[in-house]
Amino acid sequence: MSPRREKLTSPQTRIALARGNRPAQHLLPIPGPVDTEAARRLFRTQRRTAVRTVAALAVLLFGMSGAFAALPVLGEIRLFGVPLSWLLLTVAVHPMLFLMALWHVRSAERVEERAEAERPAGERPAGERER
Amino acid sequence: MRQVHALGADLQDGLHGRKVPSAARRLRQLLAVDGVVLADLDGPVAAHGKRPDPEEVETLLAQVFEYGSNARTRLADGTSVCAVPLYVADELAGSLVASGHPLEADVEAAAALVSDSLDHAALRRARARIAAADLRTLRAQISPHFVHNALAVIAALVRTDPDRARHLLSDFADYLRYGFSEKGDYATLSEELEATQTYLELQRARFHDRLDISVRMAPEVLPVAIPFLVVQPIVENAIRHGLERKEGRGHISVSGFGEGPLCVIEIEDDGVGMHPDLARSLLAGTGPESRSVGLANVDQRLRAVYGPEYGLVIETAPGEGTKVTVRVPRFTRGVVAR
Amino acid sequence: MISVLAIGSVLVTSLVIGVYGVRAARSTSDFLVASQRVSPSWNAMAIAGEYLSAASVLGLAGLVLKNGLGTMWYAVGFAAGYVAVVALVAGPMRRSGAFTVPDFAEYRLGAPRLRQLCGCVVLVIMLLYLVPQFKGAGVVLSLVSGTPYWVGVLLAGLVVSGSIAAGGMRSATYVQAFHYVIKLTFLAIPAIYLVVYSSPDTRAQALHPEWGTHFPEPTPVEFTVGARFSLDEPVTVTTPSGAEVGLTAGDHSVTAGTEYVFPEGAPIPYPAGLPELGGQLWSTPLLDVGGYPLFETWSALLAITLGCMGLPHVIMRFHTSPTARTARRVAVGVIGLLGLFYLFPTVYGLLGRVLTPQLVLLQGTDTVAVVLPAEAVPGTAGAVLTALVAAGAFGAFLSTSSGLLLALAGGLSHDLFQGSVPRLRLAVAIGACVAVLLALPARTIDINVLVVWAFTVAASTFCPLLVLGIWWRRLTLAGAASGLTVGVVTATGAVGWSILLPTPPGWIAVLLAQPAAWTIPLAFTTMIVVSWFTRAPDWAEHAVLRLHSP
Repeated sequence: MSPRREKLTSPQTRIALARGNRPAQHLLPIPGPVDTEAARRLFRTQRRTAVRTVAALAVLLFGMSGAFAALPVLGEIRLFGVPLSWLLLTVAVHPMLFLMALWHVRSAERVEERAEAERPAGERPAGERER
Repeated sequence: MRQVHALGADLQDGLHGRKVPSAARRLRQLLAVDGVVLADLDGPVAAHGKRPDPEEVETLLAQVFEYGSNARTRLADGTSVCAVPLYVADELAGSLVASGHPLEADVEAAAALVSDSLDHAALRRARARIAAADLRTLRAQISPHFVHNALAVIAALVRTDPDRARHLLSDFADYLRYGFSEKGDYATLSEELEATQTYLELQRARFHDRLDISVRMAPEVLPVAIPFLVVQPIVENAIRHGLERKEGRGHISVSGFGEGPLCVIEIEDDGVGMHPDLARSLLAGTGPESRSVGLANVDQRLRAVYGPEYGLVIETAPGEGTKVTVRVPRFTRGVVAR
Repeated sequence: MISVLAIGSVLVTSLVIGVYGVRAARSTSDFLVASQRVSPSWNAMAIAGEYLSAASVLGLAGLVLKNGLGTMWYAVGFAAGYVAVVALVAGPMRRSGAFTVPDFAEYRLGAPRLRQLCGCVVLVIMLLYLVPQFKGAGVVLSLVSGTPYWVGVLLAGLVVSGSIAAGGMRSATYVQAFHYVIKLTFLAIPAIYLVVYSSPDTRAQALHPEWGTHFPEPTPVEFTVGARFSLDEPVTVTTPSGAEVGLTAGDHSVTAGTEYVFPEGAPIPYPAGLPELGGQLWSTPLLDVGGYPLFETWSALLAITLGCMGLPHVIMRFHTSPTARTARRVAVGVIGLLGLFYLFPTVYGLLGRVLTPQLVLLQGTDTVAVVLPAEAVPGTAGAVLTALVAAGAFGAFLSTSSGLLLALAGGLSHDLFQGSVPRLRLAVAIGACVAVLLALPARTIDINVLVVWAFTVAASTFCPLLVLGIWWRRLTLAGAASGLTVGVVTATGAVGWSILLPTPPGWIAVLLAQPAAWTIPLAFTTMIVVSWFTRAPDWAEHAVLRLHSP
């Protein structure tokens, strides 16, 4: 940058920048959904999907740790020389988590696509479409 | 005094706002009467204290609305009731009714106060409408100068380089679609950059490729929502007032990056620059009419959306080129690209 | 020396990517390229790169060595956190347009005043998370360069704030993605090398902890810190002067500076209060520090899984995705990348138990990943492997702590003090100073203890705020504020007490050390109950529905 340039702003900005703190701002309104009833339905379906995934996750995590506590035999059975419980904890659980997330994304996207299809053509916003 | 001020606040959303009942209560206290009724042209909207028989009020209101002047009546129990019309923007808008021996002059003064508050409420709504209209004006205003140049360039190329002319024409169509889009007041930075690109493509054709462009964008700020047409007018300003008058090659660079919770966009050219006084007057809104369209308008809109501290920052000097910095929060409630 | 070079080159490369890595375009056609969004896979790599901190690269291996296999539940929690993120927050958060959690609070509850409270919580979480990063960097730097610990920590602070000030995070996405690759390869290559080239005997011992742990060769152990340890059978050790000292079975105390040489085949003494290395407790894959393994495991899982979505720097990254849909997909990608990475820390922990068990006595288990390669592979190859791990660890430190520092600085300048224009550099400098000062006395606290603390606070504050804000229409400002306050006070207080003050034994100690099981429900309940008694504004439903409308 050239040292001879001068830095300029509008008077309002100059004063606002010199002031130490920022006054509370006016809030711009949030635009609402076009069709409230359809949006409510979609919201409820998505909530069900989310609850289902979280429940499955809880079953996996709590169930697996519970099984380690209840069945010490899991530490004695060996697969390729490694205790089964170790294998479950350090290797097998990760693909399961991945598949669970994938399953959720699939269901959530299907729900959204269905909602999209039900909506009259003219009202679809462009922002959400995949490019 | 405080009551009068609070009355104004109560009426800030007009006669149908949430706080109108509280306004009625204040009016009763101010007038020191038994009861107060606020009515619009369809009948009472709020009341406080002892209110006369609805039928009595209705007759009284009918009288006020019929003649547009004060009306008085005496009830069976001996209290007197006075109704005064409310005017908003010189138009009959409702009435203030006070019961219990009010002084007519007091009620008139109170009605004038209410009318003023309602007037203010109407003005406030109008201002918001004007702000929205401003944006539309900006879209329409950019075009004439540019549309003319663009079409002239394309016309010149049609014979010599038809392929390029075809490309430019389709760019031009894209640009117009973006500029005239009715989709909302905000776009993502990425969309804004695409529009700027088509604009630059056309300008390069006009400059016979005397124009160098470099863009450096950090990808994480691309989805940030910003007001529609913020980058393009600044780029247009840089070309029209910075590079067009410069001899030889010109260079313009656009860069964007995140700075914590802020998104910073810098547009820099190595053109002829500006006298600081000119830039200052442009931003203060007192500049020459011909130049106040682009930068000043962007500056005003940025301040209107984000608050005064987010106005444009211009760094310039004669012969030194110009750098314009836009600094906006990555998130502001209500700023959503559609 | 090689390690210093490796660390230096990681640093320089990151800076170059950070400053110049922004896609530069020279002609208008490149303009289009520059205005296209970052691809989901880059984004996923960047998120994983920022997320894998010193806790994952250094801490996990160290804890496996010290406390046993159950530690790997932390890794499972770190990855499972993203399943919760995918299911509960990724999409809606992106639709809200919010960049930070305070932004979301403003969107959903419409109260700029809540920003300050959120800013305080951001500050607490980020500091708790930053301190272990600085600790890790300090340990690694002092290990490879031979300087004292405090020099390493100070250096780390200077490097991070310097690289941010120099613009090294301008294109954070590419820097973080680069760091993911560094972390993965620099940890995986030595791990695979160690597994392949270690003797079959070592491998068998690593997989059979019940065979007990013995020093593989005469091993000098210099107690740099005072320690108490237990022995199961008597051992005769020699001091450097050649004198023989007979240690009976049972508890022993040594002062700092003592040096013993343990003969080959001697059983490894274990510090008082820790499970016997390789014992039943060690090899059972449950977290067990206080004697209630299932409760501790579950509480830690809750804290980490739910805490992930409340971490300010995790939430921020979803803003980079163009749509809610890609944000969700990116999060799924992150789970895959994390799963791949978490295959390796176990290797260091298991081999470390066989080859470098003395680290447990020295309270230096966090260094096992760096120390192990040199111990296991003699000569240049070992030095190179050590350099790789050190550089990987440094990359982990660099990317996580720059992300954390930026989030901290943003919260400090934008939310807490509401300066008219955030003075970001000043805030970065302040944040780094405070974190360095706090890291100096934290040398002997395990990295993961501090990191899980940060997760616990996040799970007890921002997790309920986000989950209820996104999925429950009736959340109100008063509810959110009181829930946040309750959550931050109880979670911070409980863990702080258990680390800094003596705790009564038994259940109370466990409840204080792993408080997530009660602080999270408490925070949720507070938010719900207070919200029941207050009224949400009319637009609250719109605000919620918008989060779910495609």
